[in-house]
Amino acid sequence: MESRKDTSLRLDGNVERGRPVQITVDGETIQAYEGESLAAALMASGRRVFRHADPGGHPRGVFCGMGICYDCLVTVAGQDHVRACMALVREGMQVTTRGE
Amino acid sequence: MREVEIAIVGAGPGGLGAALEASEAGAEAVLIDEYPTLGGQFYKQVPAAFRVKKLDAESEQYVEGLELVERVKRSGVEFLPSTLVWSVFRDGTLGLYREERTEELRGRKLILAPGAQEVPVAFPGWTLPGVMMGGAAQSLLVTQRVLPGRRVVMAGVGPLQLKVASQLLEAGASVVEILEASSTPPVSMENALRSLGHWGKMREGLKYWLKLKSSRTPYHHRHVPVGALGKKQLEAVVVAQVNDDWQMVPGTERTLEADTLCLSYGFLPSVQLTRLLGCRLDYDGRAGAWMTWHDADQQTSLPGVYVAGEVGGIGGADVALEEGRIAGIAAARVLGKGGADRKRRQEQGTRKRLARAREFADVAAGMMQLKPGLIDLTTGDTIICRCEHVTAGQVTEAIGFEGDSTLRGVKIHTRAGTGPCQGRMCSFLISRLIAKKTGMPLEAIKPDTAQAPIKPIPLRALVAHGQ
Repeated sequence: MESRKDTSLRLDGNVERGRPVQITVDGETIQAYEGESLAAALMASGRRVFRHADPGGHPRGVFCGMGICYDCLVTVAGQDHVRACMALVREGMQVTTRGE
Repeated sequence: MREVEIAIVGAGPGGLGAALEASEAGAEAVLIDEYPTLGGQFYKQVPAAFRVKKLDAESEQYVEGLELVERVKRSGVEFLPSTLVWSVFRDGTLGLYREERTEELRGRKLILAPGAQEVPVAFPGWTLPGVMMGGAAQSLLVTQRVLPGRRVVMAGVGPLQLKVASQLLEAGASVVEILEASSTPPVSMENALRSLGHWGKMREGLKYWLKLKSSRTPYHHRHVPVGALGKKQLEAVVVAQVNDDWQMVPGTERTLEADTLCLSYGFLPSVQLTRLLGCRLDYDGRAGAWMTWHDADQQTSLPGVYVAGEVGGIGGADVALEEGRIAGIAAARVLGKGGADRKRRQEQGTRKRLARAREFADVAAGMMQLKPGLIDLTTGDTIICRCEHVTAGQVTEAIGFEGDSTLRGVKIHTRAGTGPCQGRMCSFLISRLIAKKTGMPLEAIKPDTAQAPIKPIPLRALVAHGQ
């Protein structure tokens, strides 16, 4: 297992985030904040591998961070191929990565 | 279908400048962006739900853009946020995708300011999570306020990565090393002499340089990453020395432990929309990329279609802002708006500032020139097309097959460029593999024909659009 240190990657000294929301990632509830991108919330929870690309099962995560490379794809509420870097977190969001 | 006087695509500096001038001239303008906030990749505005309590090193670009963004908000220009422009037609009609459905909007004049992407540089392991573009790391840090990693290696060319490294340090990350590919570091006597007169820029560069020096961050010029290692994600970066052409010097490899590698090798104009329209594109040898030709009023070869910023050649935010203003003034004037004496005087000021900004852009372009050895970092099994998993070996084998050495030929034979990114990551690399194998000059390798949708939209939305 990779270590998942919650919230410690968030830099909260000089900004106040939006209201807290909870999202479910691969069955696990994680804390996120209104305004955050899904990619940022996943990274902040210690997740860096968002999927394994076929063929070969190469792990992928955030690469361009601006919606053009389509590497950070995850499944949100049953919808495949959602760019985590462009999606915003919402309360109760159901996310499936293929990170394991 | 809804029609407006001016439709502006892209809400970065170019689009914001255009919006301000168009509205001031009294034209009805709509500003469209795929992001929920105004500002684009340069001004990096924090999400609307965030509140900045204290300005810090990470908020510089935010502050720079904030005033402009606020002025555009007050100007009365309508903003369509979270809206993807997936197609464009010669009569000025834009295909939009927003709120999970398609719609059309026609601009009597179009101002396209789609910006740029970062240069993709391939080497073994570059697909591993933890290897990311410098801009991705900066957005996580500055916009989202999340550390992209704890032990970061920075690599690339030019002054930008000094800024990102300095911001990462400020935020508490450990910057393991900074690798500058060029033989002449951005902060050198040679580049200082070239930058004479641009005091603001020099001061900014020097500030980052001193920050890095005081933190004792190792900085090596003539160095690049040649490999990324790790089982599931990045664990180490192999770095090596390169010669003036960026070819690796054998035997100089070293391994650095790191969880993040940021790549900042400069920018490529986002020409998907202008290519789709059939606007004239020219090859810029120094930038190593195709850019949209435009006249002094920012009009492309297609009357009524204007460009602002990087799409017309990499120049940075200052250039984009002034070009946007000129495009806004020019488009409004053709519609019979504005044109008063006061406007003329403003335009003169804008042109003066543009000339000055271009002067520095020229210096920066010199610092950021890519060298041919970059493509030699790929080995036969290095992935070139990240979407379809096509390797450099497979691409090279397909080049020249049945006498075809075009991007299109490689695409047909290997599927490289057929995935969701539509060649944004691989076509730059494939062009260089073609040049390497055939000896053709890069300007002779034409970009592939553009196709709509320029970014994938759900099939059901496309079907609904056709009905």
